[in-house]
Amino acid sequence: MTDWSAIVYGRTSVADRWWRALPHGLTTRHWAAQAALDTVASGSGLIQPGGGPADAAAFTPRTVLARGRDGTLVGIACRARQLDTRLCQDRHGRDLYCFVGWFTADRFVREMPRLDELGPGPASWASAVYRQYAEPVWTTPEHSLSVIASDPGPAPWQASLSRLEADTGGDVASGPLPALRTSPGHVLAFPASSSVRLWDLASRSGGPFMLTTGWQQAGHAPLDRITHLCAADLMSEAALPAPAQTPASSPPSPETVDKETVDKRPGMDKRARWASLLGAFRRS
Amino acid sequence: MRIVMLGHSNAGKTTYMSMMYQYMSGRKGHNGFRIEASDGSQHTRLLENATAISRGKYPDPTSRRDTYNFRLYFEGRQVSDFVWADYRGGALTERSSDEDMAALLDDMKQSDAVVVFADAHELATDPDSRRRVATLTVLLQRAIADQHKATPVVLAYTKADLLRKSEEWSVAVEPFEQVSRALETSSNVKGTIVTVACGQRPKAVHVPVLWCLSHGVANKIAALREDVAYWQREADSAGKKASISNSFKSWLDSVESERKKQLRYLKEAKERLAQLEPLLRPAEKLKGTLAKAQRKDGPPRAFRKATGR
Repeated sequence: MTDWSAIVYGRTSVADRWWRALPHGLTTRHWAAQAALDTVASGSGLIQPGGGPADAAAFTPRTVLARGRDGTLVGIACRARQLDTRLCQDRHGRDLYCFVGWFTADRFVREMPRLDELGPGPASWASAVYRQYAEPVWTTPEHSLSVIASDPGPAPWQASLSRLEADTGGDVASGPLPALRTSPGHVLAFPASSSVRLWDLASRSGGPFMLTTGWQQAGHAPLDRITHLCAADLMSEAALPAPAQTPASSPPSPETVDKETVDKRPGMDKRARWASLLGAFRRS
Repeated sequence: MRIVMLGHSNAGKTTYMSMMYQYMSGRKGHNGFRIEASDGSQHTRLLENATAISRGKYPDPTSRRDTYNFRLYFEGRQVSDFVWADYRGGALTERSSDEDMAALLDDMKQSDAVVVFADAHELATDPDSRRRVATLTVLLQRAIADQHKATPVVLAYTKADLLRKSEEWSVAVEPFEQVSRALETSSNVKGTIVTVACGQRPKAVHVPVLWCLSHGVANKIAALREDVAYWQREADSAGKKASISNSFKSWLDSVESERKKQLRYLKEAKERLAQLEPLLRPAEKLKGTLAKAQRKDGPPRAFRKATGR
């Protein structure tokens, strides 16, 4: 059985510190942590425009399934209120948003939750993990807070694993997975109706890729790391141009060669210049 | 031009950005000046936030540093590009090795302008807020001391509409008294203190951004003027040395003749002049706009009474 460790991101009531838990050995600069931030996207679009905190129907959580060279991430970004109705506002009364996810060092892991099982709610395992890391520090002063190293453990989505085992006759395959189709330089964007199909396909595919679903607008998604997304404002599949990667160092530009420069070529010494001058006199 | 925005958590930074943008990107803008985000998604997000604010719903807390790319236009013509870096409040109290704090310290060194937001209402009503802004005042004093050019620095008191009495203002401004004096007296910075309201009835939201841009444009003009004078001097000097014999000798030695140098230097001067000229009118207009704003949108009477400013 694969071991998973929690990734929890979300500020507390009193402290403007956002990282709650990261797996042992992972820093906030690791791709999985950055993928969590991209899924959160500063909270934009996690509630429909005009929707209020009390309006559960207005919540629009996002999910991520990403595989890198050293592991797999699965998680959800949502309004904190969807996970716990007590741990959901800062001391100024502002409604909070958060990310709860799991990371495993197995990049070919097949034990994935189904998309519909990842949905947040008071009874979901996402709520339990959020509470585990947010509640003890909810009123802790800023200077006493630190990021907790989460312990590895079995996948919390046991129910779906049992089903997967039943579907495959108890024989869950192992080893490399076929790679998910990507488009270098582009983000493959799909309508929201493709989310389940794409999620299932990604669950059975190898990386690296980063699939996020649940965007209200594709334009809200930061496209630096995302390779696939599903958004409600798309009617058909589209390839969105990914931001250009800044090269580590630009190649030196070739020197401008103009007429003056040609005349000053090092190979053209004084004798040659005198010869050309004499030639010009003779011609005239 | 790079503007860094600082302020503790819930000081109203994102609210300010949204309301300022809604006002300045409107069809009229302010006195012929308009600001536009070069990224469409930022444009949409800022306007959505502003619409929500005008209905009484304030933006979510910021979890991550945001960088906005804007363009300043005057009477439809682009004057300058500028970048506005919005740090979350919590970055101010992090260790210097933490990601956001490290980026902030780095950014402060490279910034062309700094805007600091302080929540006037919280400062007046919550005694604990004094401790929370301590890092902010230290950072700001360091920024003032570290500047080697006349950098614009704005201290903006937000939620100014919530304070009515001069006694409240006396309490609110006390933690920033030392900084305020430094802003007014330091030769390193072009400092100003403004009071803004960013709620349903916004007030003076254009002042901080236009203050920074005004001095930014003025600094750019001064730098371009220096460049023009430098290239002109070089061209004059080369012109004095130019002669037929120098041209002939230079040709033989495969080096650039003084005559050619003179032409090249004149071209450089002309190029700088071409960049400089379109800035002159907007710069004058910006100055006038700010002078008018000081009279019309200056701090409330209670603030002036409390601070003597």
